[in-house]
Amino acid sequence: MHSIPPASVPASIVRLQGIPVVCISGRLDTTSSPVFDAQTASLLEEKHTRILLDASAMTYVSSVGLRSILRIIKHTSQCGGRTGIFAAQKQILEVIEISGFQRLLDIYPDRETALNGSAG
Amino acid sequence: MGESLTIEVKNSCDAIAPATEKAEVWLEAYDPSPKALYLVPLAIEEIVTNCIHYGYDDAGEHTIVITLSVADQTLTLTVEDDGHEFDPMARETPDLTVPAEERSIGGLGIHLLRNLSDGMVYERRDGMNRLTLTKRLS
Repeated sequence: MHSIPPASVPASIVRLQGIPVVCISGRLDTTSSPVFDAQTASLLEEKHTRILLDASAMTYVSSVGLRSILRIIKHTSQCGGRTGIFAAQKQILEVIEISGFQRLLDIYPDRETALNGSAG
Repeated sequence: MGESLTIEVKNSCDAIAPATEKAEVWLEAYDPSPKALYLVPLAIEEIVTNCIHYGYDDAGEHTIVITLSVADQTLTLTVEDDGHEFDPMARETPDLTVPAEERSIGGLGIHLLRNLSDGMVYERRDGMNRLTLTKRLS
């Protein structure tokens, strides 16, 4: 029997102005990435040209975590759109840049600019 | 005078989190920069994960030894395993320019470590793989 993690860790999904926003909490690593994938699976079965990642509570990401994010990126790309990320802290932004993911993501400083950049 | 911490982990993914936590707590006493503090759990996770996936030809239990030491404001982190010869630095750097559809994460872990650390060296000696990273603490 395994313990069930709280439903909001590492991800919870809300809709803001009709756009799915995946709020990532804490670490996205070997342990939490499979949970993240399970939590976002149903989202990836729907067509979405825009998904936003709320990274304000995200403290750490490893290559396994990047793979989980890449799944979301690929999905919006296949749907003809793009994934955005906002409020990522400095270390996370550095990892995004080193991995070349800044080419694949729209990066915003905060939720408001992210939503403004996603309108229409 | 430098001090060191040695952590032994089994070649199992659930051994990673306790090891990274131990290492982070130890390093925090040295007032590391956020970059140095990020590097430690990342290095342990990426290298141990590589060991688990690529390092062994049998299904048996193996021990991976992680050593951290600080001297002259510089952290040295070493991961040693007895798997078959595997130089993670010999893998190709991932192509960072391909579009989303073609992107993969193969080789990305080591690429991150190479860019976040000050130095990274692989050695094969006495039947062991050893990967050594260095990072200034401030």
